[in-house]
Amino acid sequence: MNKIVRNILSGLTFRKKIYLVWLMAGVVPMVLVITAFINRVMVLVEYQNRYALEKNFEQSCQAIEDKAENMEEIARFLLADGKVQEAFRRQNAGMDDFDYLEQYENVEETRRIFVDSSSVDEIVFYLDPALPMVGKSSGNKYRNLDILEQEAWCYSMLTDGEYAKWGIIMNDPAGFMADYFCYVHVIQDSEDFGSVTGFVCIGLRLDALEKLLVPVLEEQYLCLVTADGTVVSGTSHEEAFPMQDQETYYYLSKEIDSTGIMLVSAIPRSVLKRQTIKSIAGLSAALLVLLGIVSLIYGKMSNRLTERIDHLAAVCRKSENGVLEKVEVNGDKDEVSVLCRAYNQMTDKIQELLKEQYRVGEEVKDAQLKALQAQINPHFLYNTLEMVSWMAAREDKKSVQSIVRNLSRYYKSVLNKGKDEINIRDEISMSIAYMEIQSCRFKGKIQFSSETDETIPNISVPKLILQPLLENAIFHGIQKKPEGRGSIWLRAYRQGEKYVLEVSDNGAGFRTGAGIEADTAQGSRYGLTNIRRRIDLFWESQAEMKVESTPGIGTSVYLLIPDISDRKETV
Amino acid sequence: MREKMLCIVCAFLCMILAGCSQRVDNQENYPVLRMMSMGNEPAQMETIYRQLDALTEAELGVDVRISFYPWEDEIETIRKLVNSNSFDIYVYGAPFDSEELAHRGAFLNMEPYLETVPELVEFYSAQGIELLGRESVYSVPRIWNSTGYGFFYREDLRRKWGLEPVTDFQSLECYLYKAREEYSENAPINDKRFFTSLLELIAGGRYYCLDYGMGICWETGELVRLLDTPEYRTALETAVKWYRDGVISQDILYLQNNNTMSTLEMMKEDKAAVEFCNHFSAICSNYVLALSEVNPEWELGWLDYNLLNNSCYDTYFTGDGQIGLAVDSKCRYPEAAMAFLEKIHTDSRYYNLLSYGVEGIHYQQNEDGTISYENIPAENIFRGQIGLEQDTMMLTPQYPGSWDAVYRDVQERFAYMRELNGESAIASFSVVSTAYPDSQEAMTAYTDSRIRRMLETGTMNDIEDGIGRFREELESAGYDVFFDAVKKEWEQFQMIRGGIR
Repeated sequence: MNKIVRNILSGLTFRKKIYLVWLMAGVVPMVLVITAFINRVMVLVEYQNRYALEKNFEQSCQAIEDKAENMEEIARFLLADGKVQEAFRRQNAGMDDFDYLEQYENVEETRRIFVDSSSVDEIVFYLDPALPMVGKSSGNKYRNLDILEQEAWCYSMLTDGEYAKWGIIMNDPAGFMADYFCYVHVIQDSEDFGSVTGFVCIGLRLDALEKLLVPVLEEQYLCLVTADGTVVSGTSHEEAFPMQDQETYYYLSKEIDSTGIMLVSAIPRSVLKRQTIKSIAGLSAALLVLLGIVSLIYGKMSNRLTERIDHLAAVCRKSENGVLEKVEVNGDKDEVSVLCRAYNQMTDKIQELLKEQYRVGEEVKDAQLKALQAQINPHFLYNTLEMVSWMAAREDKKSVQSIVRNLSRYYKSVLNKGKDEINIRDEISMSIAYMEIQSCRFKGKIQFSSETDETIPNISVPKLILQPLLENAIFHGIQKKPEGRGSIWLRAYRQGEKYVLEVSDNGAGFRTGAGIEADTAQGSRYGLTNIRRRIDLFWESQAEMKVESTPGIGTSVYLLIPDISDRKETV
Repeated sequence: MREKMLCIVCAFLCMILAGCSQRVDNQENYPVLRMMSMGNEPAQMETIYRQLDALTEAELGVDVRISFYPWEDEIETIRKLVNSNSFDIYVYGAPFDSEELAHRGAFLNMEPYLETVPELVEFYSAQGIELLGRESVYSVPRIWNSTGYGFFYREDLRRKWGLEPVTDFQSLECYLYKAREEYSENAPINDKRFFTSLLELIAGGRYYCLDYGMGICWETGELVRLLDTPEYRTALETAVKWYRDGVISQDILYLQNNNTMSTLEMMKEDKAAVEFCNHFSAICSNYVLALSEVNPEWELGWLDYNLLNNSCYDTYFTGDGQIGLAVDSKCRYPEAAMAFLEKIHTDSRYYNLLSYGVEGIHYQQNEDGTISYENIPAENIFRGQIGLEQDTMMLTPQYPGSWDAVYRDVQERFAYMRELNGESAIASFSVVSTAYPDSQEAMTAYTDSRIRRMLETGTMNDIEDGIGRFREELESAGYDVFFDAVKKEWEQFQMIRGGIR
């Protein structure tokens, strides 16, 4: 499994990896958290909705109960009033209008005070028709008791001993109280408590009652329902009312005190659920938008990062094909910028090295060419052969033998099987052979001696680094002296951590810096500059060459060779 | 790019913050002037408020909300509302003891505010009413450019019953008796205020009837007690006869409210055929449109008591004790209330909104400038009354069916008579005497008299005895002295203003 994941990951670009990291470490956890959060909120919202429904139901119930209690109190106060009792005595029947009018006015004043000062909407009396105030005009509030004959629920109070009931009077021809929720209380004759002279009906308008029934949700049924299931007030009462369907509806019901009227609240559970979803839809959308925006910002920011890495990668890929380009570096101080800067420095270094390499290559070629020319050195060979010829003519066999042997030793070392380097003792030996030939040539005008510290290891050195120095000593030192005579010394010794190869002469000398290094020997054409480059290349600039010269005194050239173990000896 | 991203993030944060914050109603809260009016609130009142708010908020810095109270016992209702300081502006559409309430400090004295409402002052000045120069102005009187009470009936029934056209008392009485016969369930007259109309009908030709049982004789210009006139006695006899014959409801003595609205309901259900005591304006706005909607075939008729008695004048306006518009003394924004009164009297945008509602919803504007209610649901029709009826801005309605002709006929005759009679000399005379300190007691004795109530409802058979007892009652309450004081004031008033016709 890990291998598969590694394989997949290894095939992705850095940018995709960053996105993957964001997806796994950012988006997925956030989605999980949001999902969990939304779930929790859904539970809370559902609970809150149910709580709001229950609270609303309780408040509606309480409000109606308060109204009902108020209606009962009004009925009690009204009927306890002495003047009202007096007006409703049966013995008033047939009384003269003028005499009765005062009693009527007292009742009417009391009635009006209650209607005006309380929350009830109407107070109507249903009375024995024998009482003078009872009329049949539609607007009259003192009505014939017989009207209620069809209202069995309250008319029965005349005989069944009950004194108060709740209901709605539907059968008054004038439509009186049909739109009212009524508290009907019997009126007893104050002279004969066994006799009922009528009812007082305290009414609360159904539409006013409906204003107390404010549903929390539009689809909620919040109704007042009679015992037989008739909806008398409330929302959605034109539709079939869902009685007791607990499966489909969230159902609440309670009887309003002892009125026989139930307050019922029902709301489809699906609506409740829908409401919950609706409530959190905005939140969910906001969270998702937030996530989207954060992802967008992250994408933009990571793009800024990966763009530079992509660029760096592209430049690197080009470099594989040999195209060295620089990476654009902005002012950031992050690791990518450090990488880019390092890459640029590396590129600069490579460029520099390549140039150096090229230059060195050129020089090596040049040196090799010159070395080859030096190896062959035709003038030296011609002069030597001329000298041998001349000696042979003189039959100086001993000198011829010596010169030829030295020439042989010299060329053996010079050629050295085509190798560029040679061990130091062979170089010294070859130099001695060269000087012996030259000594013969200049017939004793040049005194040559060599000293070699035997403790110096037989280290490798570039081939032919001493011969040009000796040649300079002959042709630019001794030869330039007026008498053409002098001595040349070759020494090899240790000096501290370095080995020194010294070529000195007591020739003409020169002022240092006057150009001996640039000077070219007619015979060897092998200048000091060439030697300096070769020892720099060979010892990686750890070796150095010093030239000391005094006009009229002589010149000393020192090659200071480092003590490098792996170059100490050659096989 | 960076700026763009910053904008997106900022916008989102604002969105989140806005979402997190509580909902804030961005509407500015303006003080609310509460106004009461009589009538029924039209449906879609919110559309009126929307337009009204746009006007009042910009021009007055307030919102105005109107509560409508049904025409039942409006006097009692207004009195109750004024007593409880329930509103900032009151429109009293019926005469009541507003002057007494004003003297008790119920209403704002508008006098100090008049200089802030020059257009209102000018408007009344143009009508011949000077608001400036008075010590106190407790109400702006209601301009009454309409004819008064009359007899509203079904013309189609009259024809069906084979009766003579209703043009005078006799033909009216015939219709009442026939209605009594045909609609036996409900007596034709069931409003306890009917006697005022009956007296106007019988005595209006000789007397200009004032409040508290007083009248001015057209011929002599003398202030009289109507109680002493033969016309009053005739009216009482008529009432007794009508009551006895069942034309008047048998429980008229014990009725609690005016039966205006219940009569309309009965007429709509074809259980009644007449409205005996209501004014033309209310009939037009309330009855005609409602009945036409129930049955467009019904033809409706009108006999105008003022036109019958030639008692129409140019610009009838009300005194302090009668109908008008007042501002509550506890109103917190008196300047705004006054400015609102000025606007509704002088600015047609306000006037139209509060008289007719919103065009297209509550009425239709016709090409000829008239308004009609065709295709307007009955519940939308503005049937409230905010105390505005004036020539300058009133739109001419176009009524359905035959009533349009009735309306135009009444208006033409009314206009003709107004022009003929000119300005009434009694229009601004108030019967509330300032010279007699106990006038209130006398007035209360008159209005609360049970004997008068029995007499004027036709429930007292012995008229002679009743009048005698009523006189004694009034005398003991100082009514005679009150009457003499009023009479003296009237004579002085008459000397200044000249003859009454």
